[in-house]
Amino acid sequence: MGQYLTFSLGGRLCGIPALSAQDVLRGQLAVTRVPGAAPEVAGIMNLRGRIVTAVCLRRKFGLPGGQGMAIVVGHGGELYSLMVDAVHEVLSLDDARREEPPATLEPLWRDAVKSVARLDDGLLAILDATAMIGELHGNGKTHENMPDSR
Amino acid sequence: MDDLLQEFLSETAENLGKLDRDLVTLERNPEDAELIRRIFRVVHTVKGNCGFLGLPRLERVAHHAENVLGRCREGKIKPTQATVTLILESLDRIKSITGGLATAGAEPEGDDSALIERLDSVFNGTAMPEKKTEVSALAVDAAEDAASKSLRVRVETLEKLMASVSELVLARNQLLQASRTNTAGDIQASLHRLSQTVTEVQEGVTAARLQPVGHLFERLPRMLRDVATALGKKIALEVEGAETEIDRQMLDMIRDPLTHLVRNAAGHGIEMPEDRAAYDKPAEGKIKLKAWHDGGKVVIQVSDDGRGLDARLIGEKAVARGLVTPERLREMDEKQILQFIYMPGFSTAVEVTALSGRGVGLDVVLGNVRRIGGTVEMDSKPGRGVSFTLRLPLTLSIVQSLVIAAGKERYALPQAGVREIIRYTKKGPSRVEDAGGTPVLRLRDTLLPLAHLGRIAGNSGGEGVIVVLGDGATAFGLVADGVLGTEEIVVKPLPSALCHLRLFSGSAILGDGGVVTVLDAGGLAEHIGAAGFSLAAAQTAPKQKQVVEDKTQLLLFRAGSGAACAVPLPMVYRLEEFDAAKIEQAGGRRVVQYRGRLMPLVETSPLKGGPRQQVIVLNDRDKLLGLMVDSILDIVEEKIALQDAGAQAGVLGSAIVRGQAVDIIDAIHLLGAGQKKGGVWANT
Repeated sequence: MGQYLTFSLGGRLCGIPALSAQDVLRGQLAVTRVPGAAPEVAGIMNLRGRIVTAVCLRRKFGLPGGQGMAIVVGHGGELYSLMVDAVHEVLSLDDARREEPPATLEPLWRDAVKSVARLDDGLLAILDATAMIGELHGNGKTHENMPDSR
Repeated sequence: MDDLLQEFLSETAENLGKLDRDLVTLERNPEDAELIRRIFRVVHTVKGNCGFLGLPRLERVAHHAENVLGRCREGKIKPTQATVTLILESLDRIKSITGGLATAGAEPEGDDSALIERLDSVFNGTAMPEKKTEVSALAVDAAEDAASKSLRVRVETLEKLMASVSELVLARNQLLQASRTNTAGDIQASLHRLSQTVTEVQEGVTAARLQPVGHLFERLPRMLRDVATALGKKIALEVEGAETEIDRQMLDMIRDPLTHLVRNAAGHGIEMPEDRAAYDKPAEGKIKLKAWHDGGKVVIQVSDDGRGLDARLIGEKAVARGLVTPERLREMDEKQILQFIYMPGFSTAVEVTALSGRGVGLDVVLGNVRRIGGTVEMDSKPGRGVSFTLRLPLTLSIVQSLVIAAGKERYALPQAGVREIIRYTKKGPSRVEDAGGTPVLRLRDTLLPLAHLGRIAGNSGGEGVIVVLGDGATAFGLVADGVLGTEEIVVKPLPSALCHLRLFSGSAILGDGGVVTVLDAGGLAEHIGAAGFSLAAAQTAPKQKQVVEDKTQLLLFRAGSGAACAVPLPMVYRLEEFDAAKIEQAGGRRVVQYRGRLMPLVETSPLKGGPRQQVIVLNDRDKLLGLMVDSILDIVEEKIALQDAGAQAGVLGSAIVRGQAVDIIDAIHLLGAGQKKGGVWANT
């Protein structure tokens, strides 16, 4: 059994392992745009005195429209705020219901989707948050040794 | 050489440097028990490390010297001049062995038995009458007194304290912001109290972290001695203001840059004694280290009385390294050429050929100093020496910043690099001018390139103010909508997904809780290509580019029997007509009196001649040059495709303008050449 935090993104149902989510942010998020940043990086924001990177998942997957909520995940000693349409619930899922992602997956999604699960009312795409964040650092150039951006 | 050995060498050098001074003091105050203890400890440490690293020769010398010092410590031997001399001799031996160790990686061969014998005879009391020395009570008192006045604090503790103070400052700023909308009296009072306390704590903690900059200077005499000895030079080090205090963290950050600068001065700046004689300078060169406080900044200056920088050699080197074309070099003035020493890797090339040298890792020096919000100024007088002036903030953590607006966005800009803020205007003594389609700032009598924040940030930011940034060589103006205010900010590193952006040095949370990015002056300068060559970039690059790309305004003219020529209109200052009789010969070239001075004249091809001479006056900064032509044809604006570029000096290339082949004149080249000597391009 695994627990997944589900959210919607451009009409699709997605999920990440619930344990990797540290926080869910609601309401208007004050994000400061950073010129020159990767397109999916919406900017930086103040999360209780910490400066965190805001990543717009819709933009990452080439979906139109704005954001409503955000999920905070940690990676390499830093926090990231993943901006999504709406966060739903924590879902318990039998591992047997998880399948390999279909080969017909759109290229933008291919690296991010770890597996899919067939639910009663549709498909749930389980995303790999680490891989998505890792991509922000360019071709394998991660900055693990950067000081904690507290 | 392995790290351990390297570390041992630098540590030993540092310790021995202190010992020299201590021993000289001991000679004068032989009763100073604390001093003897300290000297003993250092020699003991050296000995211990030698044994650990397997350096038998060093260990033996250190061991026997330690024995003698042990006796001194016990009060059994009085540190007389003879004893101190012997110890100094031992230290010199240790230094020479470590010196050999540093260059060869192994202990040099040598016989120390005579020295050891003398040490032993002192140790055994055979050479000296044994005298019981009483440790004076006064000396102990003084030592204890000193101990109670200073306090050892764990750096970690201070670091944590500093972090909480940073947060306190933040909280205060937030409260201040809130108070603007709420004026209840008690909030005001407590806020006032908080504000005062925070300031006090901040000052206290900052003071606790301050250390005399002299710590940095300590190992320099020894290093200098090594360099001087190795090169056969005579160099004296003069230190002034060693007691000037600076933040401990800052001390660490500038250790390497400073060592670099001093080593450079010794290695490349100071000449050999015989060469110095030729310049009527004393055989012994002088390197001066000076530190002082100046308006909330620490200034450290490294100057030497050596040969200075040779712009000609540096220029040649830059051409050889492909950093600049010979044509472009000719357009640059000395100050611009000297900036090449800051180019990465530039120094190494000079080093290898052992030419004028200078600049080993100066790019690193500049980078390090800029990274901590400091600036570097260089002043060179050929034959007289060079000085580098480092201006550093007192502390790294809290930075006084401007908050500036571009469009609807805010950016923080550390005040350290801000020279002045002026209104964006196209009139008056300081104004924005058009230089071939690129706006530049005329600030009194200098032209500065402009960076447009709104455009860089890709927002709707307009032109309200210009913040003039940078130091002498790399000054530029930053155009923004306006300055919203100043605020003390705690700069935090950008998240790792963004730390590759060179435009920003970090991020910060403002008093109102909003997040801003902190602009980096160096990154901005790089962005507009102002780094190093501000004026060259502002003046030549855009114009040349314009000739090659885009639509270009050209002045067409006919010179002699040749084909039609054109010169980029932005370079044209005026069109004049001179009486042919007024054209004079001076120093083998043609000149004409123009606006109170002599303006050189060049012709592009033999002229028909006549009573009146048409002249196109070109200008670049303060340079004027007259281009003699037969007739002005037209002004055209056209998209041109340059061909045969660079085939002929003074000609950018040829292009088809209105169906006709036209030579495009390289005005910048002409201006540069025209100023130098008479042998100008042309008479073909």
